[in-house]
Amino acid sequence: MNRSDELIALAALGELDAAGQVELDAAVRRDPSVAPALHDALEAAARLQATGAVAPPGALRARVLGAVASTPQEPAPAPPGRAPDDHGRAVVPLVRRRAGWLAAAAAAVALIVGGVALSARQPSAPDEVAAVVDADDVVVRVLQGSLGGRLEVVHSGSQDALVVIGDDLAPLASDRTLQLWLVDDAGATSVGTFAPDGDGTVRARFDGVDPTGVVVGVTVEPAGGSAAPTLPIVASA
Amino acid sequence: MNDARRRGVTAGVGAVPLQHLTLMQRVQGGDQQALAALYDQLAPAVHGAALRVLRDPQLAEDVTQEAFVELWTTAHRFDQARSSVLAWAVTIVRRRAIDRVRREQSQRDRAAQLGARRAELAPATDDFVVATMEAQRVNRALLALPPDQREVVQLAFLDGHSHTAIADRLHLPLGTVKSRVRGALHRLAGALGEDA
Repeated sequence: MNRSDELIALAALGELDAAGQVELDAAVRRDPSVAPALHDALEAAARLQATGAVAPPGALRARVLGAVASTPQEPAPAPPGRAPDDHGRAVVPLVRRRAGWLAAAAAAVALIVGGVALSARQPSAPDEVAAVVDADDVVVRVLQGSLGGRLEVVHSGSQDALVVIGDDLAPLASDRTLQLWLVDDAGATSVGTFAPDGDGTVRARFDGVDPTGVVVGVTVEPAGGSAAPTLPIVASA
Repeated sequence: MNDARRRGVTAGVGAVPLQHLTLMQRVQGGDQQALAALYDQLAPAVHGAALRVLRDPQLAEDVTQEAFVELWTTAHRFDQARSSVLAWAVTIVRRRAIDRVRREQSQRDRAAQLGARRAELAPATDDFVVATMEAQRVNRALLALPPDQREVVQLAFLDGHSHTAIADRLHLPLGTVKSRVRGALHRLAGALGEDA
């Protein structure tokens, strides 16, 4: 069984974690045979499960529709360098997106862990960055993804901080930001937001963050950041 | 609308994927009435899938509600190249239900329940299976699977167990369970596709 088949099995089982979802998204983009295989597997699994259809109590309908009426939809993400999709996805007007964003994110609880601590402190002072990068105990992780250029997360335990180093990254729309997350099986915890400057450069320090042993992932979010990641994760390590 | 609700099983499967797609596109545009129409068509299948995993009617209702709210909030993520609307909704509810079990129940309790239920498996494929043509098709396809593949998909998708619980119970490596699930779904997709 190759990795794509394993990811497809986990998706059908409802047991794909966030990092696996990133991998599956990448596989779908890379290999045109993955989407149809995923489609067929999910369909077969759904048809098995649907043989046990049991109408819920009538009162649930009103509860669901009430919850929906008070819950804004997530905005459709527009990652840099990605062509508009052709699957008829809706584009929600920006004003509505922003008004409803935090509530929508709060409702999409699947990936939220703990509180939100957005720390958009960027660009960080050169000496603050250098203190981490030049520390004796640095661990460098290079993120792979679709942001172009080179993106690294540099962590120092002695400095109790990590620095995001980006060079030649793809430009980002002015109403978007990048957001860094620590992702484990329990979900994603926000580290903070950052954005490339006009040259595609990032130097951003975040204190009190330890990415040891967990996946670091980056998403494209509305300016100001989000309480929960908007998939896909565009870079990870 | 009520007809669609009463039809239950058949309403969600096979016959109306195009209608689901049209409704889903309206949901992506923020149309709450379209979401209500999708609820009427998909709720029995979604709720049934939640019940398989959770067994508890109240929990299953809660998770069904969460799934429809997620379907609404994350509508832009739906991609018809990757799944039908029904499959997407069922996948969402199963993921949430499995997460709920993980949070609320220790793996050991679960394994004990699994042991108790295993004895019942062979004679009655499932209490929930109703005598519709769709269920007959699915049963036929299941019976055509190699026994080791049939066993894992029954445990996973009819009895509602996670692949880790199945691996524990059958003393199999996780990779073997995943591989059997993948192989079984591939065969089922072929059989159900030809049979549709």
